Amino acid sequence: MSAWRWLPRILLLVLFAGFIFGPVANLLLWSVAESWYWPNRLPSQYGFRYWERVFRPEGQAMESLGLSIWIAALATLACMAVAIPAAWALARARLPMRGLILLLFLLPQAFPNMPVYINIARVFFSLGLNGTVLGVVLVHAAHGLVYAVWIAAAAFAAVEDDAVLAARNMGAGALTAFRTVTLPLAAPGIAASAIFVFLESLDEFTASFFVGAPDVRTLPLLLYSAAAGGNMQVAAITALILLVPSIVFMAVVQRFLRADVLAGVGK
Amino acid sequence: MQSALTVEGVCVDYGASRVLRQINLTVKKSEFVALLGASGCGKTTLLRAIAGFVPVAQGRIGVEGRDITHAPPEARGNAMVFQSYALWPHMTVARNIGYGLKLRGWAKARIAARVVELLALLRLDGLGDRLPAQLSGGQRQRVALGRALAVEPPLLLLDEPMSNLDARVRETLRHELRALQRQLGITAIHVTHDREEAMTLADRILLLRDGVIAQEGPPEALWSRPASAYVADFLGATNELAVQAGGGAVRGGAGGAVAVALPDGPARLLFRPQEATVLPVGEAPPPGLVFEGVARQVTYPGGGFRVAIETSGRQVLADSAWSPAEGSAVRLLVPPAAAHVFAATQT
Repeated sequence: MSAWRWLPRILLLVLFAGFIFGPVANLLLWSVAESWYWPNRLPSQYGFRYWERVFRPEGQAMESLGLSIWIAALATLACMAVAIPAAWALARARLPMRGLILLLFLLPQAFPNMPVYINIARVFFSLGLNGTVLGVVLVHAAHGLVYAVWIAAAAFAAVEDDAVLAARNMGAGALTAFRTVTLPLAAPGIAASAIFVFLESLDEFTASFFVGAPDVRTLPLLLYSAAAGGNMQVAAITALILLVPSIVFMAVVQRFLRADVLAGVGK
Repeated sequence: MQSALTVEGVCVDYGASRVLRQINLTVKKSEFVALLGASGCGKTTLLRAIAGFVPVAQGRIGVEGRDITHAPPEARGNAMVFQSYALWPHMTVARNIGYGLKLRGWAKARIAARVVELLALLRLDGLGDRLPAQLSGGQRQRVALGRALAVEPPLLLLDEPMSNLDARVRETLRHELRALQRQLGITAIHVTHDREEAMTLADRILLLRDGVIAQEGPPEALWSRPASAYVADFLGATNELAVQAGGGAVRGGAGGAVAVALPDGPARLLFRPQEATVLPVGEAPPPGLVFEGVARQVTYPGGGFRVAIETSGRQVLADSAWSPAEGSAVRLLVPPAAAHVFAATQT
């Protein structure tokens, strides 16, 4: 009796697990497959030769990873420098047409990526920004702005008015109250939004391709050319490397982000 | 002596609606004033206007002779205890209390000493390293009070500081607060909707209604001489009977008269259950207004009986030392001092 009740649930769980872990398992398998030819179901030879090749000092993977992290860090900084004041203004200063402004930040996401980035690439080309790290950073920062502003605005909105007023009442000017009360209380949400921006930049492909390639080779671009060139092993290993920061930061976000901050997104 | 606070003709608007109209208030040094009123009467708005959180549309606010009508909150020097306490959850109790002192440029050691002193004063010894989330409601309330007292403000603003506490804690804190205020000679304005709290704590009560002052005076004056039916009702005179004024007096349905300064015509008699008495029919009544009625319900809340009496189509409550049978005829006596009579046209 109880087996009948549990069976569908177990099947469903296995199915979900398959969806989530299936592709990762396939990647893992490819990364250690030294030879794997059709129609074999499994590789015929296993080994770490490709791992060794990727991690060799002259291999491009490590260099690309470094570049990707550097770009992601810069993009995050640039993005937060705009997003924090913007989010604060949206959440706390009673701006007219608040909804419209929030929508405006969302707008770039509403258009298909391709035409937007092709146009950006054209403009950047005339400005000499194409193929530069700065160009990629700028386009990543713009892309991350929507997450950053929305999440940070929710974090600021979750700070109680009275907590800030209490600081003013105790003798703090507007700026001191912001620095000692508003910002520390909104910090978890802001950190979460920064992490989202960082991760978005890290595995962003389309914009990097049009603005950066071939001079700026981020890890996703390397992955693309490896996969396009038929080198499934290098592509798989690159993909696995990209997975690491995502998992680490997701764990951090989970710890940081209170449910009530997320619930306030877009309010 | 210079007054601690002067409020002159202050008006406050929320959007298009005026929520405070022509408020005048002078608070002497070391005086404890309660702003009493139902929710929405403007009492919290007045406190927030004094703190500088809401702009004043008209009028003037002065503290110790200094005009602060348009000063930013941080330049006013007063300290507020919020209804929600508004403690900073990311700071320890000691840092919460020391915040204002740090901003005033005190040295670390001096702040630490002052914090310890306040913790002892508020019976929070040893809790300095806790976070607000680790404290009980009563302890949080005392931390909020400590934070405000730390800076020795010329004016302490209390915004319903006890409304989030349960009845027993509230009772204790009420007496502690009064003792502390006397001991330190603090000038305070206390916003509350609790009549008993206002009466126990305050030297003077301002009763607000719809943004205007309904009555102002010491607790005893408001209690024994309410200026309007609204004030009487708010201060516990919840029984109401229709009477007729004639020749400078009102008469009870079954005898007795009380002198009033009202024109002839219909009037409203308001009185408190605990100040009225129930008499058996036939007994010679003491002075006061007497009404014939029927005892409808008798309850025993402790110490005496409370009788619901039906008289001239209305039901009123009165305290009684004896228990009349339900359904029996009784007489209701409202002594002269307990009878609050107002013209029926007044609201």
